[in-house]
Amino acid sequence: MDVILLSAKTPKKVVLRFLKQESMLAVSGAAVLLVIMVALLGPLIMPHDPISVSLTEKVQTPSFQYPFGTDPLGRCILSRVIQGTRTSLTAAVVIVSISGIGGVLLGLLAGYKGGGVDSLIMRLVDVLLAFPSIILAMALIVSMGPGLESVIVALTLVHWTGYARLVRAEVLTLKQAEFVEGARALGNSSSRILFKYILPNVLAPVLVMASLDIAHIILSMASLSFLGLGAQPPEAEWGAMINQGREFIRTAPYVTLFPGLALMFSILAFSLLGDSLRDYFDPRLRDKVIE
Amino acid sequence: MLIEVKDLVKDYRVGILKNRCVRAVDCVSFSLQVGETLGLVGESGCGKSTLARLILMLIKPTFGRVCFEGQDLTDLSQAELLKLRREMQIVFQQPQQSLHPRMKLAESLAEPLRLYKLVKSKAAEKERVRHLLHEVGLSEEHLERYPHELSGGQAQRVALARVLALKPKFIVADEPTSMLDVAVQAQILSLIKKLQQEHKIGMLFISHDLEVIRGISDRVAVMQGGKLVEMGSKEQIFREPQHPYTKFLTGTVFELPTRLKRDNLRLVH
Amino acid sequence: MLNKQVMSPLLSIRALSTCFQIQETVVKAVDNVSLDIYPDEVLALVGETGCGKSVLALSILRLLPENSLSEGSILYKGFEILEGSNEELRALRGREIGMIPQSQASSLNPLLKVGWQVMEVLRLHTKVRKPDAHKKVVELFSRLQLPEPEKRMDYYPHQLSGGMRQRVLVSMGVACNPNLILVDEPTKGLDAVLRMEVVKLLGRQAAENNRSMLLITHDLSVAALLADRIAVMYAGEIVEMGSSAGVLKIPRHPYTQSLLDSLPGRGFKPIPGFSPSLSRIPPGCRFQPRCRVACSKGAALHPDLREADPNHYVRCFHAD
Repeated sequence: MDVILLSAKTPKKVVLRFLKQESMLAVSGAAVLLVIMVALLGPLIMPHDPISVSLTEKVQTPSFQYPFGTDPLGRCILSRVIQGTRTSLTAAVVIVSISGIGGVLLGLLAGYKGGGVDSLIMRLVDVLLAFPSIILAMALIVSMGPGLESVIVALTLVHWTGYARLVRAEVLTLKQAEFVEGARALGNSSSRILFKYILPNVLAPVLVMASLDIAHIILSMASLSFLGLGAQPPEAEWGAMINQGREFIRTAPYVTLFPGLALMFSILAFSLLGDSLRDYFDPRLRDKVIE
Repeated sequence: MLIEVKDLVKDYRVGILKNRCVRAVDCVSFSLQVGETLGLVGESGCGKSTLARLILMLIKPTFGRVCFEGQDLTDLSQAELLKLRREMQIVFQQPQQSLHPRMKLAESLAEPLRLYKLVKSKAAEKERVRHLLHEVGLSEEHLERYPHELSGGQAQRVALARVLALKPKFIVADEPTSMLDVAVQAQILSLIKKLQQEHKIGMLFISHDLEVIRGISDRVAVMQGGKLVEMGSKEQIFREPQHPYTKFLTGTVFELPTRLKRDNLRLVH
Repeated sequence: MLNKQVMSPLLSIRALSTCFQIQETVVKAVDNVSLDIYPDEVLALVGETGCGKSVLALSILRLLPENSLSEGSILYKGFEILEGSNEELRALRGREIGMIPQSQASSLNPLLKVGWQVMEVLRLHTKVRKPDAHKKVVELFSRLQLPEPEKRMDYYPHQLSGGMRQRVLVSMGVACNPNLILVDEPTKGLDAVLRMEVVKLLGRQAAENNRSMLLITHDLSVAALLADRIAVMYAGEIVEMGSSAGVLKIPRHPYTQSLLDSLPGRGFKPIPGFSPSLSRIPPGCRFQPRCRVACSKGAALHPDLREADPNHYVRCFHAD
């Protein structure tokens, strides 16, 4: 009578319980999944060609044919928003993967080796962090010429520093942990300790950071494109689209509204995912068990 | 002679500018025979854990020598040291934290076997892991668990099994029971003693608890402020302590149940 | 020393059960516990990690998390704690019932001066002005033999040694002069020297003005030095309770006997097996699977706590 097993663990029940306990994670995960699906299925679900100009149909209000209306060059806004998802997400994923992997590796190296290697890497991080990141990106873009490739290079150069710092701090704590010391006493080599013992334990915060970073990068890219430094016409990109609709904001608000909403939705989805992942990975918040 | 430690010194640089020097271990010398247990007792912060890590070369000494079976460890390269690691092992204080939190026990136990290629096949590995589990009093149902699903005592048994897998000649036990309850402490201590005698392992047993030291050691060394202040056979240390600090420590032992609260009012007031 | 029969208890716990809901299981951490604490008495609650003794202490202060449920009755000076409102409970905590938490390393706020932290407790419960509170804390520190009490007021926790931090924690627990102090594992993880210091410190506190103490510990030797009576807990329930001398010199329950034998000074004879997890408690006598005199009756039936000797209660079929 002391233990009441209310139900056995069937897969359906496990899923239901997960949805109930981690509703935030489930909702934000679904939203992120939606964004990714839109990006992947883009060409299949676009009603029109996102870049073909049709001056006879410019700035039309939303209709059955053009659910989101058309822009000043007569292009279907829905198709362009979908194409914009592809642009933003691809660029964000490329930036986060490169800066994430690079940052993690450099952070591991700095934290584990210490000494001169550590000083060198961390001073470089300090120097990069001393510039406001968007200004640094702008400077790089100006010297490389505007365009998506420049934005990707510029943001990658800025973003790896966050991962390096985070991982280095985690490594410094983990290095002292008894199970790492034990692994050393057992006779593990340095590289094995680094990748088998330390890396898996820093991945959770890195994943959280990556999710938050994607949101941040999508916004940075939109800002740069809005300023005319990122995606160049006729490429579909949310920031550039908002810029285009600026002068029509009184007469045709839908030209800016829909890319703006898409931007907001994706940023919110990735930010929420990051926050709920952080809660999910924190064992103190996960199961509260009293000793 | 299994272990010979000579004039071991460890200095740490502390402070923001790393300009102050603190001596954690000060000129420590002792030796340990095959199959013998030396108990090392002292307060927290007296340098006993630093000494343990120095002997195993987990940290580099500032000065002095550590010889294992006549071979000077301080001269060895990292690669040569890695080979010797198998023979010298350590058991830590915090049992749950001394295991990889994301490794199941089956994996944790198989790791040392794979690391030194001690088993030929998967089947042999399974058999050996099972044997190790039984040796430390756990059963196969524990194999699929993660460290946080174990009690402190069970985790310490796993740590012991991992060490035993390598058939070491020398073990350092660094306060292996100080975080455990009295009842679990008794289980772990008797297990350590049994395993040590069966496998003829030389052991340096570190504890702040004189009663524990008395129960497990052949010889006892007393450490204070980084120095060994007294060393002798168990009987000598407990019957006729010479150094004032040893006398002070033996005074903190309470025996049960001959002294109860009523008899101890003078001690309390 | 006192005739317990004629005094009314300060705290009276009757049939207390505390459950936790963890995911889909209900775990009973405290099962049908009844005990009394009399004025001027130290009662030690002895048991292993996970036996429910800390949960019992937190139940008394109603400091358990949301997913818990306490049933039964806890009467403090006639006041039913389990039915008290939040305001009533806040007035009770610290002022009437003090608590000295377990970990001296993590129970103090590292960013605040220790003097301020103790003053805060005083000012929460009494309408004392700041300079007076300051004076009172200095007095408290010197009574607890903290060296240079005036100077220590302005120290941060990390600037104090372990023993001094323990004194600060004790001073927080006794600041408002509570009638009852709950002390949770005061010696866990401390070295022998510090342990002796803490025992002396608590002994002095218990001896002061008719104060009662509930001492929660796994260490029988600490209980022996401080307690008038000892209650031994195993797997959520009390298995033996009586005077210290009775329980320690003539233990009647096999678990208490085994626990005494596992002390290092007694040659650390281990108890076989593991203590059951509170979510998987054996039917019948809970100690039966590990018992040295295990009986078939105990495998099937659950023994009651019975008075084996006057004022000595045992939960065992062999006690008669």
